[in-house]
Amino acid sequence: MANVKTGIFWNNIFKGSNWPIIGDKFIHFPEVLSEVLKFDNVVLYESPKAPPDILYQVHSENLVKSFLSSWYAEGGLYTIGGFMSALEKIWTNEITNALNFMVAVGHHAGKTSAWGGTYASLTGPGIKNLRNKFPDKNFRFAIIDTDSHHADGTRDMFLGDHDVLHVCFCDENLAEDENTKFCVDVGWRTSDDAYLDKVEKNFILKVKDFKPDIIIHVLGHDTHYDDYGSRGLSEEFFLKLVKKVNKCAMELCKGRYLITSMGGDNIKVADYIFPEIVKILSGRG
Amino acid sequence: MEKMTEYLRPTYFIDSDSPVVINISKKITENLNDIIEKAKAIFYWTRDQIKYNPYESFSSRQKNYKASKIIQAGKGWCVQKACVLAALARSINIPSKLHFADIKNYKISGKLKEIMGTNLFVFHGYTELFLNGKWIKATPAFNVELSKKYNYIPAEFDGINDIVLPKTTINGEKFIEYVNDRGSYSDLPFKKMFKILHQYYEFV
Repeated sequence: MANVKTGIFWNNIFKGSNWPIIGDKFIHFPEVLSEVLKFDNVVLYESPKAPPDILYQVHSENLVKSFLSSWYAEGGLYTIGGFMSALEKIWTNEITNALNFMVAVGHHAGKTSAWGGTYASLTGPGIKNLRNKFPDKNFRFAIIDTDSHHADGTRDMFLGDHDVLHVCFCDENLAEDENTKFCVDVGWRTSDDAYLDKVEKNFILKVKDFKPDIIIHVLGHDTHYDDYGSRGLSEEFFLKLVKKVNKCAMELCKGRYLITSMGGDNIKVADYIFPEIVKILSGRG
Repeated sequence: MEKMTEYLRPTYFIDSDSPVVINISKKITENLNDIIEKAKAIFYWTRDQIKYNPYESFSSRQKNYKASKIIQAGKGWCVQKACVLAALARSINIPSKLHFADIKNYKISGKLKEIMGTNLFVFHGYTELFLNGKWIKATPAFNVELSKKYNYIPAEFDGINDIVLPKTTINGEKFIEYVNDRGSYSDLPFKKMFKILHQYYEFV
């Protein structure tokens, strides 16, 4: 525990608005994190606003203009800023791992089109920014996406980039891009154990061969049995999942593990799982 | 004047820029000059060439709601067929949107009622086309063979009048009742739709 430091990237702009798809699910934040914020190895960072310039480096001009003219752009830019900052702090060892909160941007945003409540990319600018900052380092990133819906945007963003392993747990079994991009069919209805078994076989084993510098986890909780993308999973599932991936990050890449929230609009689930996730990341789970 | 750009652009689901969509709309409308005739042509193509088949077409996979994918499959349920018509329309520069409503089907098949547990269809989908300065409802859900087989009145589209599902069958029996309007969208609200479906149906 003493060797681990966990960052939480939050901005008060994330609460009080009816964000696309996820609504005002962070209405009780950051207050629900008060217990974990007392831990001496947990730090709350205010997510900074990302400069729009970084979006032009990964998206078409039309997409960026459309995004920036929307009412939710401000929240999206702070989300991206938090994610970029978390990646930088993890890489420079200021923190070991992090939890980033997200609104309006994420895994349905590809290079030229976006939909489904995520209207600009999150991983795209985050990875681009880190590569820009450390041009001599040949980074390898592993992205695990456990939102209920296929991460078509993230896939589009990194197709052809063989230094990014992308394993998406969604609706079909697929391997592409010289075995660096995978989809895994988890089934309409599954169980916590069956899903975790698929994560073990389809992510943990693959990522060990891939040897990433950092593991990024796009963690939607819409798969919860009482959420809009239900796959029948319990609250405890998310904690077991994070434990599993965190253990893997500890073994493979010095614990460098960045979790970002994604889909799910169930406030009770959000209130419960995120503080518990911080406990796990900070070595208490 | 309503801004039409939003209703003309390709989206993830209404992928009117897909070669699959463009090839079909070109083929159907190549000898037609009048916009109403083109609209009728794409309506009838969608109504009859995409067979209504909820049993084999219902899916929670987002890619199965892309118009190009539905065209390749040749079958779909009402929402999927609405996406196809919307995409074909946009590909020939006719603004289109999707409209949703909850309906009761009093002639529902026993098999479908067993699966759904009710005759209430939430999030029934149809298309609206912007023609001659106004939005016209176009419901391509039931192909003509199916309508004939079950004595439904086939949907006939003239590009001027709204076409929704009929209140009665050919025999005058009670058929469709619209019970709740869920509004119109420039793209398929996939996640919202599944959230609602999940609330109503055990099989979703």
